[in-house]
Amino acid sequence: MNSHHHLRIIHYILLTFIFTVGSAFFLHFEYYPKYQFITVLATVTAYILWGFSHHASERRLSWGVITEYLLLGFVVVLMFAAVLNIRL
Amino acid sequence: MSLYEQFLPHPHLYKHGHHRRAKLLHLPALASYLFFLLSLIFSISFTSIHLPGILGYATNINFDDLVKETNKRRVEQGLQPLAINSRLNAAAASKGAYMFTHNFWAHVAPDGTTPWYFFTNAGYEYRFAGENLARDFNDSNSVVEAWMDSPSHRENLLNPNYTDIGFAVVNGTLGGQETTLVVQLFGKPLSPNYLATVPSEAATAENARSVSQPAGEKLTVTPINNPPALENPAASSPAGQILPAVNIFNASKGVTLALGLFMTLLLAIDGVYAIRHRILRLSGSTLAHLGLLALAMIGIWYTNVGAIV
Repeated sequence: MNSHHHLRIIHYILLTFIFTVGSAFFLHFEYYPKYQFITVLATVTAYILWGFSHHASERRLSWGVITEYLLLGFVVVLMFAAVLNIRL
Repeated sequence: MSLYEQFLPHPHLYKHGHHRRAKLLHLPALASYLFFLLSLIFSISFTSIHLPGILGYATNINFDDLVKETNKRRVEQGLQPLAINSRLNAAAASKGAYMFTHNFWAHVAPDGTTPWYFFTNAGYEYRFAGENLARDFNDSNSVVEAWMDSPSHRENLLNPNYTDIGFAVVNGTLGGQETTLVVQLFGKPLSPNYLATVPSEAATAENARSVSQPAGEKLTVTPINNPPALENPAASSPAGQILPAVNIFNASKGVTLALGLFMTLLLAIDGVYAIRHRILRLSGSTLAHLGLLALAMIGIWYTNVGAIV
């Protein structure tokens, strides 16, 4: 296994950590929708930054990739905004 | 443009020499999902404000069930059930009206008015006092369950120092949204003979508080200009009378889960295709996207309606 694969594994471990922490906070703030939404915002922000760094390290970061992560992140944020009754 | 290309990965190479995802996962499609969700949220806001009869109020919350559920949990813990107190009911109603009138939802008002003001204003001189608040729930049991799930509210609900309970379930418009507020007050009077309490057959529960006034602590009351009363009857009304035409929470949940599932399926198909054909795409990580969407759907699935404070 070369260093590229090691780096990739580290990246995905970091992503799992981001998801785990986000899930823990989301559960912790059950019945507190504003805090849950802040948790979603933080988790999605971390996810987008992870995507940028992951693709940059693999020399595959492009405007298309950046836009894709941003759009998907916003979609997820708005999905939660709709369910958590967050008014924009 | 074939239907195949909309839903499935492109089987042939494109201009930059790379296979591409299904068109419904391309950037314009993602942007359209974003626009759809924005439209949904703004439509809910608009309908809530301008067409209140459609979204309506949550209405299966009622006084008797709240008392019953609260006291049930107290009895289960070996505690005495609480007695309904008419002055605490009046204090809770005043607090509910005050929140609608002053457009806030919290234990302490923006003008500094504390929960204890409403106790004394209703003529309830207390030795112990507490308050629990909830909003946007669909039924009484869910409200009490939510309080029981929160350590601070549970502590109030199972506090042996309380002897009396009062409730208000009030509909109104808060921050431009129609909502149902539940105010739950606990107390123990300074003098046992001071207050007239109403024994209740349903008094098999007690309420929790997230704010309490401990015994012997000096009460701080911030004077307010307007008495906490139903200043605008149109702004708030007793709950349990208006049935919503649409349960907006369930509708939003269904729509977002459907969209999430749709995107997840497209990505999963793309991922399998890419692995089988050993394709390296110049796009975001399919595995990471799938993880995010799966997590989002699980979170949305387990999201509860209602909030407490």
